Amino acid sequence: MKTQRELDLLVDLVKLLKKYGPEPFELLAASISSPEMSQHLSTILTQVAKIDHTIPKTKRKTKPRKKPSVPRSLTALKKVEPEKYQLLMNLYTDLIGKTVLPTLRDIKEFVADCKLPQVRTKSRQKAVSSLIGSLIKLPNEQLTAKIQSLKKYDIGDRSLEGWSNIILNKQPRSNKK
Amino acid sequence: MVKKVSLINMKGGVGKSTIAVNLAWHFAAMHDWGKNVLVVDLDPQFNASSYLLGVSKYKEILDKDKPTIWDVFEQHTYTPGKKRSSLNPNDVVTNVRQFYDGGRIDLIPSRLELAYSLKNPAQKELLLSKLISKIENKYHLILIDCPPTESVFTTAAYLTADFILVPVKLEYLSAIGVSLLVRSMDEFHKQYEGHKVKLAGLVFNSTSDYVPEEAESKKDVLHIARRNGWYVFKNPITYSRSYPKGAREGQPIFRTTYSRYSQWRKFSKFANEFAQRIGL
Repeated sequence: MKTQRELDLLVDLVKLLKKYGPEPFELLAASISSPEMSQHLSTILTQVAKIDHTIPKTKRKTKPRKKPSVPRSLTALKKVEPEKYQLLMNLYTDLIGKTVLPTLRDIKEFVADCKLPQVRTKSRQKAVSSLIGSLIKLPNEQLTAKIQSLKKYDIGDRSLEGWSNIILNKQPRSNKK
Repeated sequence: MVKKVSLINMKGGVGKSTIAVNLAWHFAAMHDWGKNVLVVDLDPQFNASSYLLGVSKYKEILDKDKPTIWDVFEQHTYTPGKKRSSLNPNDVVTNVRQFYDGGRIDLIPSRLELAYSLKNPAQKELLLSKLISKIENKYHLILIDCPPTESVFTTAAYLTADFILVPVKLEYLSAIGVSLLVRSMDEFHKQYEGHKVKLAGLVFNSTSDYVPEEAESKKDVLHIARRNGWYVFKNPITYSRSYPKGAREGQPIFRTTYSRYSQWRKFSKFANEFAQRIGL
């Protein structure tokens, strides 16, 4: 034994010997000793080393989430119909921030209630764009009314504690001094 | 012309409030209906109000001292030191939901204190029908959710309604409740000869079809119904966990999370049969 490296290899070989048994080892040793096989192995190892070198060693980073871009139909309104643009832009901001219609289901319900063209997607982002696309076609008066109605979609507190406070005439904890 | 329907059964827990709320949603929100529906919560337990409003909105009504059904029954009660003011019928109504190009759901909420009206029920039975007559032209359907005991509220509901809808759970005690209702209606018709309330029908609620006890009770109720010439709805409301879940979420069966399409289709069939019966 000359080097630590050779010692490490020996330890690994002993482990593998224990794992696979002596017979496959003897067969493999005979194969490797042939010059043809050793040439093949050498080529393969060189190729592997090359590929390994080209792959960056840094950890794969997760792609940062793209901020959803404002639908073109909406940005196009900016100069033509600034009032409508403002109404829809505020709504779009709320939708993206999920302060209104936080789920895809909520959007679909709202669309159904407003009798707007059905949203046929499983992506909330696409549903937002589709909703904005449908609302753009409405006159400002109708649009305002529909946006205002969104406030009513908040189902609010439905907790049993809340009911208990009402029935027992108690103030909610936060109001207690 | 408005259709006024009282949901009555002398047995509690048969699903009166749940059915009232789900019917309101069905006729107001479904594309092929789009009706204006008013739900009148006549039960001091205020289940229909809880279902439709949720804690915050209900609390807001109490905090702002907005009139409720209690004010309807106590509007003429004199309290020393307090100035009497007449009750504006529109103030008692709270909008729950407005659907675009379609219907709306309004509510006259109830409150626990309504139970105190029972202590002095004299001269109160006509107050509800008088109030409703002032606002009924705004609605296509008015659903009155009644408490499960015979009282001035039941009489008020009979006097206000054109029809009675009787939800029945297929249980032994519920079958007894149907007999109590027969007696209640008979007594009402004797007392108020000129006023005829039609029976829209009996609807079996929370059915599953697999329980022998259910089959036995069904036989009993059908027998009572046949003997009294009462209509029994062909489409029952089947048992589904989505109904109590809907109450928690403040949603009807067709909007409750993970509710099965088949369940709300069944409710829908009943609702449409109900509409046909009352000529909605």
